Amino acid sequence: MESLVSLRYLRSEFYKIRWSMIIGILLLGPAISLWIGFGNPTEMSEGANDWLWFFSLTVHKYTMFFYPLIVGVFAAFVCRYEHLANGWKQIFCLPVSRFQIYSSKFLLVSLLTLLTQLCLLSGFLIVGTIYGLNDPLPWSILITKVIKGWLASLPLMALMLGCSLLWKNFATPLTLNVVFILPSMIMTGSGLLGSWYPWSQPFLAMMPKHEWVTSINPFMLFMGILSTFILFVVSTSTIFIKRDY
Amino acid sequence: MTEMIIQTERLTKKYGGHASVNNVNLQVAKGEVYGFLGPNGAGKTTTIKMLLGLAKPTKGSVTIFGRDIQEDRKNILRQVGSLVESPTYYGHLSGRDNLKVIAQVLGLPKKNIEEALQMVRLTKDADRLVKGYSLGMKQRLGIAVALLAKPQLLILDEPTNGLDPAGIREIRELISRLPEEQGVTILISSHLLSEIEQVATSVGIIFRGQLIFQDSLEVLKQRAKGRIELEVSRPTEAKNYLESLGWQPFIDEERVCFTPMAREKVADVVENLVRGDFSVYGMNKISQSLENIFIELTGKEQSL
Repeated sequence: MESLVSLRYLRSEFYKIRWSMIIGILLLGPAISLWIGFGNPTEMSEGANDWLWFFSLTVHKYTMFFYPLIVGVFAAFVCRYEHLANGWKQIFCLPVSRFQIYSSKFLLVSLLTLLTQLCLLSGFLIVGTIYGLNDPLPWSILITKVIKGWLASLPLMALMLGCSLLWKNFATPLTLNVVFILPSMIMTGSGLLGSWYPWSQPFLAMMPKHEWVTSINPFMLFMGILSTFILFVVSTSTIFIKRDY
Repeated sequence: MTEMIIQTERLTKKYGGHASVNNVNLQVAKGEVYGFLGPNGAGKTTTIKMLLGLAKPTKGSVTIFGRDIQEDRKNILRQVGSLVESPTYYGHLSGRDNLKVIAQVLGLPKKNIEEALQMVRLTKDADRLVKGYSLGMKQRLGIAVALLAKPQLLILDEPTNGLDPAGIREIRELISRLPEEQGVTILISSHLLSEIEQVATSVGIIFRGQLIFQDSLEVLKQRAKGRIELEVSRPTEAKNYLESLGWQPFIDEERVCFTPMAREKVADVVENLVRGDFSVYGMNKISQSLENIFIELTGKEQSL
């Protein structure tokens, strides 16, 4: 039985990445979300923790638009160089299995998105401090929310990675991503539908309790995430492995 | 018996209903430079893709180093270097970093990178970004990737495509050098006979998906020697008659043919025929180049 991930191969992926581009995205996405979150004057509800209040304002736009967008961009990025110079043939002729290539690409996307989450969190803490928020910092809630949001985006990562692996064109998966982000606003309104909609899952998992959010059944959400994740990983990796190049 | 490095059995690939590769039995022995020849679209690349496990055969099997590619792909590929179609490169990386990516996957030391660069004479340009390379340099980089692991088998698909004459010569020299120096077996495909002729020891010709010739280059050259054709009355009888006199004719398309011979002997043959009461209607002296043979071999199929 071969290992699911080839560490040697995974390291080679790190050599290929153009880090300047990645760092730009890592900074830009969270920065815009924070700017929107803190920039709009809003009436704070009575008795709310001011950190959580601003966190929800930030996360609202972030998970609704920027985060799914970033997931799609990263997924497209890790496949880009193989598509550009027909590199699939070359790496398929190396002694790594196609599943190992798939899993390495997936791992890379998930690491990059986790970094995005951490950038958002640290950015939020810095801006919050500068802004002069002085309620006690709800550490555990913030950290769990960030992790949960990341886990809830795994189905979207699998789906976007699948699209990027199968379409040679860089723009197609990205356009698709944008098209499907828009209905997310409606989907999130219904906890039942949203739990199954990959573009809504991160939002539903990451938003703290807030007057703008309908409450959802956490078990439903968990089931939705788990089943869509399995569905997308199995289907896209199978197509990727079976294909002729 | 010589050890076979590549062996395919009734290898077939169908796209839709059409067979791009049809019952091909390739045999490449150890230490050979096998020239895999065929016009564009004959099925060379498809065959090579199946050899490497990039495409799955519809029927038949591929055995490399005596092991089935479907079952033992990873271990086989460890000892195979390849360049399929256009070279692959990461344009935003330098030549050296391109090799580093591959060496990382294969777990090879730095030494291999430098040696591969040297072999294709890219050491000087190794730190430039590959997107600034000329086509020939990219092609050489692709060959460097193939050589990186010091493979026992090298599969090169049209490696001189798009190169200028100097570049073609360089690749040719490299290919001739490798089997002697490192005991490598090479399969090299091309649509140009002239290219294969200068490096190959064996030749396989594929046309419309079928392997129509496979033998040593010597045998192919034998065919190229040309012949003398006589158009006579009752050719079969004439052949038997001549044989009884000690000649070695053969019949092809109703003509009595001979391998090339001296002028006096031709006169003797004619004289013999006339004495034997055969009418001689005409005589042709055909000299053939390898190119002609190639065209003849592939042209014949066309009329079928």
